[in-house]
Amino acid sequence: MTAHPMTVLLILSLAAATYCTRIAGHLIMSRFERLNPRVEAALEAVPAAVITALVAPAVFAAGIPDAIAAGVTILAALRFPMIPTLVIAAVTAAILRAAAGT
Amino acid sequence: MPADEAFDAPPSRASFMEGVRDILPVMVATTPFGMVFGALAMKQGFSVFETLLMSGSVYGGASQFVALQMWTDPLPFWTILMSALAVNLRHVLYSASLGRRMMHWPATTRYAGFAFLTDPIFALAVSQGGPRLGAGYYFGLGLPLYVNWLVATAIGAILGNFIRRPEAIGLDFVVTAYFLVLILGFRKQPKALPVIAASAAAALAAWLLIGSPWHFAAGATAGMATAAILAGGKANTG
Repeated sequence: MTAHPMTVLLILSLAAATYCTRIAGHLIMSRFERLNPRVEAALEAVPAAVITALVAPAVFAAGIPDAIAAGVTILAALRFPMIPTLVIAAVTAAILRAAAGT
Repeated sequence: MPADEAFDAPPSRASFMEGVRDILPVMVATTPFGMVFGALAMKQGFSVFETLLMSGSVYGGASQFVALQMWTDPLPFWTILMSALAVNLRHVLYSASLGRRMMHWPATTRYAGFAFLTDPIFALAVSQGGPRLGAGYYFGLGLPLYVNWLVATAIGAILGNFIRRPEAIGLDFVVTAYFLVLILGFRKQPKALPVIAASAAAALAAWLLIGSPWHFAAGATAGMATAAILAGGKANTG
C-alpha cells in the first residue's frame, strides 16, 4: 500500500471535478420554477439522446462484426429478457469477430 | 414500479430491494470492466490503494479509462483533468433531468444520491423510477453497483493477468448491448424515434470528424434540439 502525492492529488481532483458534473445540472435547473414546454421536452429527451450518443460509435464505427452483433442484439432484446439478450450479444460478437479475424 | 413512487412513503426495504433486483444485470455487465480497470491500473504502476481510491472516488468507468491512458511521467495534470471532465460532462444533463424527480428528498439525501449517478443508474432511475423517484429505489440501484465496482476493481488488480483479451470473448460488447437494450426501452415514448435518429447521426458525425469525447455533446444536443422543435409543433396544434 503505497501512494505518490501527485497521483493521489490528481485522483482526488478528478473525483471533485466528476462530482461537480453530477450536481451541476441540478443546481442550474433548480433555479427555475416553471419550465418552457420546449425546455421540458428537451430534458425529457436527455436519456434517449445521451445514451444513443454514447453507444453510436460502438455500433456504427467499430467494424462490421460489431455492427451485425448490434443488430442481432436489438432483435434478441425484442424477444428475450435482459440477461439472455446480453449473453446472445457477447457470444455473437465473439463469433463474428473471430470469423472476421479481429 | 417502485412501491414508494406513488406516495410519500419513507424509503422502504421493499423499494430498496426492487432497486437491487433491477441493478443486478448491470452489475454482471460492468464487473469485467471494473476488473479490466484494476488490472490496467496495476500495469500502469498504480498501487492497490491508488487503484481503489480512483474507482471509489471518481467512480466513472469511461473517465477512469481515459485518465489511465494519459497517465505518463511527467504527469500531464491539467490535460488529464480536462479530458476526464469532458468525458463526464454528460452527468450535467443527467442531474438536470434527474434532480427534478428528487425534489421531495431532503437536500443531504439528494446530494449524497448524486455521488452514485452513473449512466446505467440514470437510465434505470428515469425509465423505472417514475416522475417522483423513490429514494429507497434509487439507493437500491446505486449502492450495490458502487460496491460491485470497488470489488471488481480489487479482483482485477489482484488477478489482472487472467483477463488477457476480454474482447475475444465479447465481454466488452456486453456494455454496448446493454445500452442498446435501454435505448429500445425508450421507443414507447412520444417522439423517441426522431430523437434517437438525430442523436445517432450527430454523434457518429462528431466521432468521425472531431473524435471522442465530443460525440457525447453532439448527439445529446441534436437529440434534445429535435425534441424541443417537435414539442413546439405539438403545442401549436393543442
